[in-house]
Amino acid sequence: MTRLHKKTFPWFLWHRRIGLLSVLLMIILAITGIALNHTEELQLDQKIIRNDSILNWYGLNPKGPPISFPLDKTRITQWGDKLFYNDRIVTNSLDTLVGAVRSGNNILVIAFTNSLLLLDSEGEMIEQISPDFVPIIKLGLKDGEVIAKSTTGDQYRADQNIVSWQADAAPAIDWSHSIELESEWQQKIKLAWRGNGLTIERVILDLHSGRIFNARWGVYIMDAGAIFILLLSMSGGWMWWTRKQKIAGKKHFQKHHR
Amino acid sequence: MLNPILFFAGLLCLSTSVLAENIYQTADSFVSESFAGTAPDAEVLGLSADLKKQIEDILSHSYTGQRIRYWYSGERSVWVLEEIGKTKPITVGIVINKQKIEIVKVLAFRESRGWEVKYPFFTGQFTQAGLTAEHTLDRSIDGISGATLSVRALTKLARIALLLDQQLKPP
Repeated sequence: MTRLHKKTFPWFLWHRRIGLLSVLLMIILAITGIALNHTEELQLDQKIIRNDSILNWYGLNPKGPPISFPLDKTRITQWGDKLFYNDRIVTNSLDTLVGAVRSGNNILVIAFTNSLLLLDSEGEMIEQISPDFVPIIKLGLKDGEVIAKSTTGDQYRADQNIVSWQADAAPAIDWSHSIELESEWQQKIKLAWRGNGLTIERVILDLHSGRIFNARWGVYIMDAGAIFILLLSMSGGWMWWTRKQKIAGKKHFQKHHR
Repeated sequence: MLNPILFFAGLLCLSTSVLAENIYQTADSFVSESFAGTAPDAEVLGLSADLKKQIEDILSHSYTGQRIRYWYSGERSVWVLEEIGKTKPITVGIVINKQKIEIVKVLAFRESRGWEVKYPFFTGQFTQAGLTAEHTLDRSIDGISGATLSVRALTKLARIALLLDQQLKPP
């Protein structure tokens, strides 16, 4: 005689499926959770990430190629929206760097399309000006005097303190030219570009919350992981209870009905 | 019936014009106008550490730069200064005469809101304003609803121009 088994919900099967599905999320939640509980001892908020892949993921790498003008051993570089004196950020600028020269008076004159920036010999800002002859396309020197050329083709010469400008059609100007920035400078500037940088704590927090996957919907991934843990707990608890009842019933049967 | 393509193109142009930089007058033109067409040569005022600190106290943020240029003749000085309103700089021309403000004029406005400060009904409030010992204006300036940050920027620049003018010695 066959015994017809009552159709029961396959708890074990789903418990296994949910477990397999969420194993990676649970590992991430567990490890990051433990790490965050010990942020201070592990100094996670003070250690800086240097890995290029992670920094690229966070958008902490400048876009596009750098534009760099050499001034002897000094490099005046624009990368992204930042201007650098060697590897030190001078200012932010969305304008385009078109030239840089050192005047006879040792003032660094940096030309953007729509403005001029004056730095002292230490790279400290003296003044930023927007002369009427913008847009500027070139900057050069003649006999130690700074010459700027505008898009109209007109040239203007600055006085020695770079206070006033006069029209000057002098020929044979030594125009400044950009160079391909050397790789060691690129590395230094990249580090400076990132500012205080990305801490390990930040990355772990974003991993724990899911925001590392996407700022908007990444949290739902970890929410799903948390829900899976809940379901596993409930299904696991239910299976333990029913199995306990089953064993108790079996023992009762064996004791009283055999 | 209105062509929807033209309609949306028009809306786009309108939105871009609202967002674009508005240059009402160049600095050179303002300076020339302020001196009735015969502007003196520009000069520069070096910023001592103390003066820079006073400027930063007015601005409530740091100030980079070691000098500020100006034009000076008789007892009139002209300054072209910039300060961020909400996110973009506002360029303002200020004429000081006998240590009182003669003119405040918005030369360039680069934001989509707060441009009401360019109108004479607002800038006219600064006429004959002077600087107190605490480096505040000696009168209150009525704000404009929805332009608080622009109003604040212009007020700061007016104070700074008066402060800088005090540093000048008559030729």
